[in-house]
Amino acid sequence: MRRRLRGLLGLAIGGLVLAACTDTLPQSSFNSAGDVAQQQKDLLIPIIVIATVIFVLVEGALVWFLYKYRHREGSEPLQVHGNSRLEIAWTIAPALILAIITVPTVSMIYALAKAPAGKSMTVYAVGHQWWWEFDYPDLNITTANELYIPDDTQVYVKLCAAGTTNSGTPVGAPCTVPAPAVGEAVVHSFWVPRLAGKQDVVPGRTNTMTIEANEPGVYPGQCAEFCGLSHAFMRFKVIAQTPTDFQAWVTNQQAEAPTPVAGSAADGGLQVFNTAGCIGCHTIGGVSEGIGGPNLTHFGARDCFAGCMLSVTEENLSKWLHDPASVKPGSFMPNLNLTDDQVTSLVAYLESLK
Amino acid sequence: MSGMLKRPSATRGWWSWATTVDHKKIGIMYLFSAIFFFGVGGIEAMFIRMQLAGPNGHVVSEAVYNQIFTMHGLTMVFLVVMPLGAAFANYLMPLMVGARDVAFPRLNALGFWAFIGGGILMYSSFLLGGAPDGGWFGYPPNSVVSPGNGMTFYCLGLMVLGTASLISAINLATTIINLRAPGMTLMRMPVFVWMTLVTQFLLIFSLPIITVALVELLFDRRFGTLFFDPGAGGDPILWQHLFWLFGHPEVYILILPAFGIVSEVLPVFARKPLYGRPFVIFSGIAIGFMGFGVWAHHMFTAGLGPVANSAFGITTMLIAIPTGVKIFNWLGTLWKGDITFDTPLLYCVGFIALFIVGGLSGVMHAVVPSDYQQSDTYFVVAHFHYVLFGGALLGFIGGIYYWFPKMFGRMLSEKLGKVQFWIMFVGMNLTFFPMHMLGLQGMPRRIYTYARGMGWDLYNLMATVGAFMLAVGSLVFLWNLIVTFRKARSAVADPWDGRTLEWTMSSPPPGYNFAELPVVHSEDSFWHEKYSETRDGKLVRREPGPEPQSDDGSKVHMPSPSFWPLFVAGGVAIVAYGVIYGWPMVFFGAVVFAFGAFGWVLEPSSEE
Repeated sequence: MRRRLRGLLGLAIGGLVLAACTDTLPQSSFNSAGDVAQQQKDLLIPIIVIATVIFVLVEGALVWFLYKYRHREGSEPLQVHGNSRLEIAWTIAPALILAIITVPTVSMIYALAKAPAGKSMTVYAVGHQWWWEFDYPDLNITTANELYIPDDTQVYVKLCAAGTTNSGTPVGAPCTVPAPAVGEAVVHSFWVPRLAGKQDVVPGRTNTMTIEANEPGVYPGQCAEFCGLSHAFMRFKVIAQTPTDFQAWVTNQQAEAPTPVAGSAADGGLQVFNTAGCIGCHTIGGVSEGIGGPNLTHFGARDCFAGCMLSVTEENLSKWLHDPASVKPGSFMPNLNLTDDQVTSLVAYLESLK
Repeated sequence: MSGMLKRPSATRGWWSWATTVDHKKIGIMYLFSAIFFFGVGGIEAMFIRMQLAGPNGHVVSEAVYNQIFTMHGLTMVFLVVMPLGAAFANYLMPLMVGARDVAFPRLNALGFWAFIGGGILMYSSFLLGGAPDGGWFGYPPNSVVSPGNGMTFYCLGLMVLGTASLISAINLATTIINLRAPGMTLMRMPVFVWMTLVTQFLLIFSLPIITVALVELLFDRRFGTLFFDPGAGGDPILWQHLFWLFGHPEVYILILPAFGIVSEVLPVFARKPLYGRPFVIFSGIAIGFMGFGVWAHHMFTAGLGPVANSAFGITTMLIAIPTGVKIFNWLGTLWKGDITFDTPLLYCVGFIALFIVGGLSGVMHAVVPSDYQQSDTYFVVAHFHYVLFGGALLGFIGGIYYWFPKMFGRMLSEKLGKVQFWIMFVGMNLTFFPMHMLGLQGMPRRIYTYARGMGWDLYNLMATVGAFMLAVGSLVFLWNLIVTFRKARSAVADPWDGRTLEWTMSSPPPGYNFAELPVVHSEDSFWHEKYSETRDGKLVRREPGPEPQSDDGSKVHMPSPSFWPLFVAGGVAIVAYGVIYGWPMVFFGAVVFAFGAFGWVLEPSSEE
């Protein structure tokens, strides 16, 4: 019996640890790829092991008692009312286990709350309904839905919610000045499971967290706090690069948007962009200074748009430009009733913004 | 002085139910309302599971999905598990403490009808432009800016339901404190009564907090105040504190009555007294107190800072201790018992087995840094369904099987009960265990759909299959109820060899409960009338005592039925609608309310 119990326990724990260590899913907290997520996982796994041991022992006792003391004809059980010493013991035992767990818990709470000490970079992550804006204040770059980071640097993320509040006041400071007025300012949560646990994005506050990637890769993330109609489509990607690649990306992003060749389809798109109303919300470096919508300066270099709900393809873009809200429920980008020709040239222009 | 309306006197038919002040009839009405709403909330759950069965699902739209998951949570918490607690407390507590009714019988009826009013208010929103869609937790600013009247119905419905619970809680607490039979000292009270008492105090102290929050949210939505508006100096975090300062005691409001049921059922079917009775009682009280000190563990990722996160992490670990004590004491009760596997025991054992899982995952949430990963994911959904479905609900179903003969004079089919148990037990684990993995693999809660290629497909499909099993199990239960009600009444007074006072009277008990109030000499007093214990703990059956008194109770004066609770509750509900539909309606509701209140006050004590 005891041996079987031990075997079962070993199997359960082995299975769990194996599952945790061989996880390759794109957004799994067990597939950690950065120091913060790794620490959080390393704290959880021993606790899962302890919990599994307790689970097997207690459930084992339950099943064993039910079997051993099942009804037998003609026997009456001894009327045991309790045993204070035993009961005190099983009050203290869990207290001790919990006290042990508390120590690393509290020390890690404080460690994670600190601003990064070593090589670091500050990024503003701004939650809009329903997409993410990323600002690099020191590099003068603004982008959307794709957060590029170097893999040798701790990234200190400052979190703001942007939009209007109930009283009509735009909020978003200190992350965005001036504050955009498109969409409602609501609570979001910034979460890239493979790099770090989540932190809420609360209107009127600036929460902070540190993320870090150990190697180049694409790490999907997602808003984790219910934020309205398209909460499920508030996705994003963190793209970690080697320092050299990252520097190349920065240089490209800092440049103004490429001007299309006169007379090309993209040039027609630029005309549509300037006249159809896009410039009210969208900034394109050297072309427009709109606020509220995503900065499109290097849109053509991105893989995904609309809160990473869609990948950047001609088909998706034209569907989107015809009627955003039919693609993404509740989208605050208005339907501008563009003609097919206007859409085609706009798509060409957007794709040219490498 | 005569009243404004003739006091109703029907003893059968619809009117007898509508005007009753009998705690047993009110308990039965709570029970069937809860079963009804369980069906509704269950159908909502099935839509959620069908929508999430595979990636990019299209069973319902985003807008409808948000309403459905919001209403599923609200329904299961406020319209199923809370009224189940009220059902058992109402029906059984007076019988268990040896009282003829609750302290304020008409208030009891008001509590019930206000609960029905709140339920109608909530559900009518589906027909009046859309149900609440901001989650049961209703975080502003999203809940403030949510369009339509859904979240306004949420505020009003919860206020009315809260009022109903508060009325009922004050009544039940007073009854337990003041109306116990001679000799029924506090430490002789059945553990179910103890847990009910703690629950009522939790209600009394926590409901005003949510009411404050709801008033603020309602005013923000309806009258342009800016309590939660950061652009005007308000703060969304304020709501989170108020909501969870109610919301966490609420969890214990849901689970403590089930703790009580398990503590009553195990000794009966193990034929042994509850192991360490005082420990079980005191740990219940400890949980009640500590339940008010852990709320911010729902907000670990809200950015409260390391001091608050550490403090609430530690208090959350502490509350696991009295909870663990209960589990060990239940195991101690089974130890060396003589266990028969009748359905009530089966469900209560299922409760323990599943509650352990929920308790252990709860400790994982207390480990704050790893909660940063788990918070707002399916891991949390798994955790609280183990506690509230595997725990509270299985406990209540066990309670239904246990007390059904007492309430209705008929035994539910044991065979169907066992079939139901195994389908539900397997279905429950199949539905909710994979959600632990989904959460750790990065699936957030409350998302209407997910992309292909995230690796969540298999576990989601499993959960959906499990949900269908739960639906089948529920239908077996319904079938069992139908079959049983078609049988004649045949249950004996004491079918399980019970331990507490309710088993001394006929099944079902007469309207006046006790012809003569019992005198209590010990805990488990009925058991000790049947059995004595030798010094070394052997059980000896006593010679049957004299036949129970044959007094027919005709001299017992019981309160007459009353129309007024219906008017008062109706008035409250109409006022609530008026907050949305305009001042004339508020005025009309107020008139109905005032008419009811005056009639109530002027009502003669009985129709001579």
